[in-house]
Amino acid sequence: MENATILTIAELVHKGRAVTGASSLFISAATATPTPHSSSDSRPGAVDSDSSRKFLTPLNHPAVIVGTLALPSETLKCPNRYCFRFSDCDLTICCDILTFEIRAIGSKICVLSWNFLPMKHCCGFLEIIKWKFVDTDNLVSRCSFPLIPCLYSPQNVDRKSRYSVCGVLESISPVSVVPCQDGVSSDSVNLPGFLVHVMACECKEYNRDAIDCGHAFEKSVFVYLCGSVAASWHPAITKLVGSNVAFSGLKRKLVYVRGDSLLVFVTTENSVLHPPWLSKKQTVLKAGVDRRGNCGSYLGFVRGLYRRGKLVEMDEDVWLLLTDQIHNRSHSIRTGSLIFIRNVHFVNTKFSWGEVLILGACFKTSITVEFFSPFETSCLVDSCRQTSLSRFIESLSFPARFWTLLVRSCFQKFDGMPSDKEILRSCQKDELTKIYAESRIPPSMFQPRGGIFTEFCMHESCGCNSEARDCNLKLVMPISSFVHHFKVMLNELLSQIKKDFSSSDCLSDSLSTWKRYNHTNTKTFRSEDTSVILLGRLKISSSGRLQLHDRTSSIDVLAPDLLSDINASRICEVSDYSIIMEGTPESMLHMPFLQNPLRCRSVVNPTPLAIENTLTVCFSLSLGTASCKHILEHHPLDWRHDLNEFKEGMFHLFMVNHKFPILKNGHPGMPDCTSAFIEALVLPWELICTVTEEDAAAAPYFEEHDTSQEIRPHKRCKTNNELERQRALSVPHEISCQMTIRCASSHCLVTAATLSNLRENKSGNMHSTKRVLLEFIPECSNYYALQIGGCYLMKHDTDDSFCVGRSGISNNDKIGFRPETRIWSVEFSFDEVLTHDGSVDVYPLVSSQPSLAVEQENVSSPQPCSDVSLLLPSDAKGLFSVFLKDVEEVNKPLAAGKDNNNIACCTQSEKIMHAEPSRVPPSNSLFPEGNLATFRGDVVAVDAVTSSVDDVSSSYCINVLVNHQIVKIFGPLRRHSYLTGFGPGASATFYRILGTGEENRFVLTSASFVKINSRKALDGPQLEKPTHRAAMCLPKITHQEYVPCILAGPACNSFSGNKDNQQIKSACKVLSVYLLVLQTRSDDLSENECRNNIDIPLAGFVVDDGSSIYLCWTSGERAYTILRLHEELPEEAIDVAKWIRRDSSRGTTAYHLEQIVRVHKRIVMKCNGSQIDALFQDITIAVTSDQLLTKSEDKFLKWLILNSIGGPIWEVATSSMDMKMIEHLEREQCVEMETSRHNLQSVWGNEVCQVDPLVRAWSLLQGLLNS
Amino acid sequence: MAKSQIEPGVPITLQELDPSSLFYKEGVSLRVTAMLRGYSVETAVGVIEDGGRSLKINTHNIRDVSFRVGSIYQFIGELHIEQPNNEAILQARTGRNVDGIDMNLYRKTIELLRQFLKEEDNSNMVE
Repeated sequence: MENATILTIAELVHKGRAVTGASSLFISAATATPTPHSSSDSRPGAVDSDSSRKFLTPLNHPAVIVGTLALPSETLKCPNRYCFRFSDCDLTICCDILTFEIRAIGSKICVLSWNFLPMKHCCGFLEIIKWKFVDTDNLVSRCSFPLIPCLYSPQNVDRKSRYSVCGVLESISPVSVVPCQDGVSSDSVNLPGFLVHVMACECKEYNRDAIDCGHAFEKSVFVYLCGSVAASWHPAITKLVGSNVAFSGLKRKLVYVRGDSLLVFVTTENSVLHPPWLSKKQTVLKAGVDRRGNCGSYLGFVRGLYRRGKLVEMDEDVWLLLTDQIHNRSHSIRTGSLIFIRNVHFVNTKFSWGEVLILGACFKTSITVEFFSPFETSCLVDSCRQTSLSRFIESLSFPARFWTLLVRSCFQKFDGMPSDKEILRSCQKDELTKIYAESRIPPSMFQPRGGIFTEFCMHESCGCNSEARDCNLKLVMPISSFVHHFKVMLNELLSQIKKDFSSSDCLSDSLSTWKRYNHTNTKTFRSEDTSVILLGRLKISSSGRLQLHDRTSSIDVLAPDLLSDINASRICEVSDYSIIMEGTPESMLHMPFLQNPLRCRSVVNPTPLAIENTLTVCFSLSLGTASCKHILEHHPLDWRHDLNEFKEGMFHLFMVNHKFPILKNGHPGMPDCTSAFIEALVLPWELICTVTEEDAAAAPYFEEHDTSQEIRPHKRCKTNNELERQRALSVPHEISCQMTIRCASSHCLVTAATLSNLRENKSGNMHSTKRVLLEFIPECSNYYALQIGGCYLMKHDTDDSFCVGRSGISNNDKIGFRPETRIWSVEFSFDEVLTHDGSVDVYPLVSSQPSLAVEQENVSSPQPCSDVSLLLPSDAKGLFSVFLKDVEEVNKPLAAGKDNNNIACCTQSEKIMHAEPSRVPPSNSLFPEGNLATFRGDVVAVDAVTSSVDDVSSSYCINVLVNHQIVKIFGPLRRHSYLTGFGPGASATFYRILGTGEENRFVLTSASFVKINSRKALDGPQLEKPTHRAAMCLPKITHQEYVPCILAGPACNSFSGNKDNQQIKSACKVLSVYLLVLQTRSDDLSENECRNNIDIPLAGFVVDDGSSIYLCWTSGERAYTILRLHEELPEEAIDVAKWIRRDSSRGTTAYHLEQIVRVHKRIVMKCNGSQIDALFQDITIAVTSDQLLTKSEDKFLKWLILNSIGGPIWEVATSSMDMKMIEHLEREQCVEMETSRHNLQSVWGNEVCQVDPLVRAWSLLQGLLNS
Repeated sequence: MAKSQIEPGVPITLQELDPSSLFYKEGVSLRVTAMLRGYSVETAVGVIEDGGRSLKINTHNIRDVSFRVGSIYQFIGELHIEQPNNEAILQARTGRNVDGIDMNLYRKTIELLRQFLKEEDNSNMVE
């Protein structure tokens, strides 16, 4: 070692490279001391061998550094603040030291073995592995170290500072700042300091000689090291945690923490630290994991640091959370270092995707590095910036903190701003994360924070212990990691198959089968199985397919009911979907998939390992509207903004007649075309919307708001004054209506608007409905948003697509549609003449009209909810019939002959709800020759054929089940040339399919459009064996379709065919209560005084409308009504509720229920018995509070159900619910509904009112007499 | 006299029950609805009245119905013609209180029901 060169810090800093001076030394001087290298070697696999990880470059010659070790001071600018300093003659840097001794502070030491890492903030960081005193002769064996050096303190011995504490140092708090009054200048100063917890002996005097004679370290004592000089001891004392220490010269102070007084020893100028001594009893063994209760210690290698060191990956599924901003961590916590964490919370959390051990650091937690990392990895640097996100995270429980940090990693992948605005971008992502997390994390996962004193001194009582063990938050994943996960799964399965079929011909057989049917073999996973949420933007790729993009990757999306308000620039949350893997080998379909647990590592570190991809499998997502939400939907700022996108002005009204498929991928004989086309009918109506003042106030920043009044695009536009006059004169071509603008699910704006008929308007050029062709350039996502049969609004402007460059629209015009054009879907309803019960009947625009063609189109395009709905007076129906005639006229040349009738036949189930029962479909032939048809059915199989049908060369034959008949559709279908996700199991609507001469045989033409309505999961071992392909032809009937139309009553019929969420009104009686969720509306006691403090987020009633029994789900006021909570508590209930009936003035059922709900916070009642017979119900009641339900409470709740059964006849306006909606509700309310268990149709009750049976009977009679 | 089979009670209004009508026959099963005008506990015979016409009801077979003059009741039973003065009395099989019924609506309903049954009969005959 004599030949070692002495390096200066300046030399190291100047080079600016990460180097190690360890290995070079160890070669020359073999030492028994364990080195970082040998330690990592001794545990192979402890640190995973990532190829990207590089060992620190060793110096090629032995080198030592000589300098002084010092406590931290203000002079060294280090973000971590409390780091050891190491200085030689001219430079000072941060350092960390192994085998620390207090004597080394202030002494000159020779660093024999070290790592140096350059850092951005200060010059660099030195890791001292092995060191020795330079001057051993002068080294006195000191046994006391004044916390404040003598030159500061006048040696006046204060009587108060006579206390000492000696014992085992249990824990240490981070340095925090306490504002206090300066005694001299009476200014407010921020005094840093930290607390230590010592298990001390009761003896008054510290006497080193008496140490091992009968001391019992049993008394819990807190010492507060106060003042900037004492606080600088923090890194040194952190190293002493777990060993014996003694402090003397302390004074006592009584501290009030949360109303309790606590005796704390506070350091003075005369305080002295006595270094650890080795007790005979004490044998410190650092076990890997040492758990005592919730807290414990953990020894392990750091496998990764994420989110600026807040998230530390320790072992497989073990994560350390360092979320509190105040922590002073050492820079040496790097990937690859072995760290010992003391007093950390062990939170074993069961997430929906798997179990994770979270090591939650609190104020008591201290971390020491046992071995430095041999890798060149970046140092942990505390960020001083306290963002709103970090504050938010601190207010959460550990599992929620962990989840939020994972979510933040996903948001990291979006780049909306240029990279030079890094901070701004990061703030935006933080804000997004916060808003998203706030909306998802249940209130129970928030925990109040008590500050450092409370949480350190009263650790057990301050709630630091109570942790939610189960967490139903779903994993948010980047798309690349998500797809990678499934790829790995497929590969594993393939190797499994290879292993199983060891004989080669068997494998080749199975693979050849795969080749043959590779376009049809799909494997589907439901989102429930994976419990993964994806976040991304919906965009259209260059190939014309709709995709979900995040920065890591993109995935094809099949979204049949894409809302027009899905905006490509906004982030969507996709939670309910199926992942479809197309092209999986046939043999794989029948193998049970190994469900690999999802690793959080892949979320925070989304660079997937390159895997050998032997399969060409296409991944796509199938999702519905309900499952795809803008994540900022509920943000108050956002909805206002959203609302104001629909500004006042004039709007074109058009209806989509047909969509032409995107022909980019080539139909034979067709030139490649980049644009997509939609056939639309421009209606001779214009919507004029005047915005209310309230709305205008909400949008002060929209400049167009003022200018739009002045720039009048055309002569035919009227000024407001003219409008008023015309309205006053009640000119028949002007219909004033009530307009409801839907912004987000919970926000609607109702305003007045006027529909103006352009036919009557002499100045306009358009007198009747015109059929036009809308051209969409590939970037335009509006193409996907528009649905056949839907009506839409487009802003009337000087340069809108319908007006620019033309004086008027004529038939068959081709109109270019610009991508920025905003469109709104619109639906019409008519205000019927008020009947006796005062109800308003809502009709779809065309259903009551005689045009079957339109009727059919309307039915087949589910419009779940429109952006704008117009309520027109009932007499406007007559005016609309004129428009409908127009539509018919325009449609005539297209659908020649008996086409309309045929359409009606094909959709028998849909027809039932609208057409008269006397119309019997011709049974001999389903479709006639040569006509275009439109029908809906389930795709049963897609077979490869090589034949020519009607001179159209076909390569595929699609077998579709339409009304229990197999229909064959031939066509040159190419993969993805229609829609993502097409294949067996898809329910699709085929538009404009050419009928051939033969029965049930059709040909897809280049104008045919296929819309996928839904996809059924076709996976699982229950699928037919591959040899029984014929079995595929068996109709697969979903639950919803399996409603026998003839047997069931009118309600059932309507529901099964009614997929576009029309409301159905029916009078029904409650048979039983299936599910009831009750909870308090607010925790504020003052609000509890008001009547309606019970929230019913979900209730399911089994109801009978006289013809069928179904499950009616509802919530809030409606459930409140059906439960008859507003009614007076009946006499017979008094004996069960006597105990609460103290105040006779509050006799309503709601009042008494409220008492119970207030105690139990949330009550879930579920009937497990017979759905129909109320008397034999097996009712289970679950409460959230830890109090038991008393017998009388139980009785009362059961009485509540009986009471609602005895209720009157209700008139309920319902809309149909599909499985998705039910599942969504289940998830939202965390209840299992098991709706599939009983064959009841589920509907959602939108409105409930009590029926006066007499009034209803009279109106029924009237209806019967009139018919 | 005793019928082997109990016929369903045909709903009628009291106005229709005049001696010339089809229903005014011995042993016809009827369903009548009207207001109770008087009731004799000794004989268990009540008198119901609707639209100026009244009918005697023999209620001795009926249990658990409390009779209150002024309330509206519905009875199903067989008509018995007492020969000397050709007076009708309904031997009630069952009865119930139907207070709150809208008699106008009820009359119209009966008409509709008959109309429906007639159509139904016709279609059955065609087959």
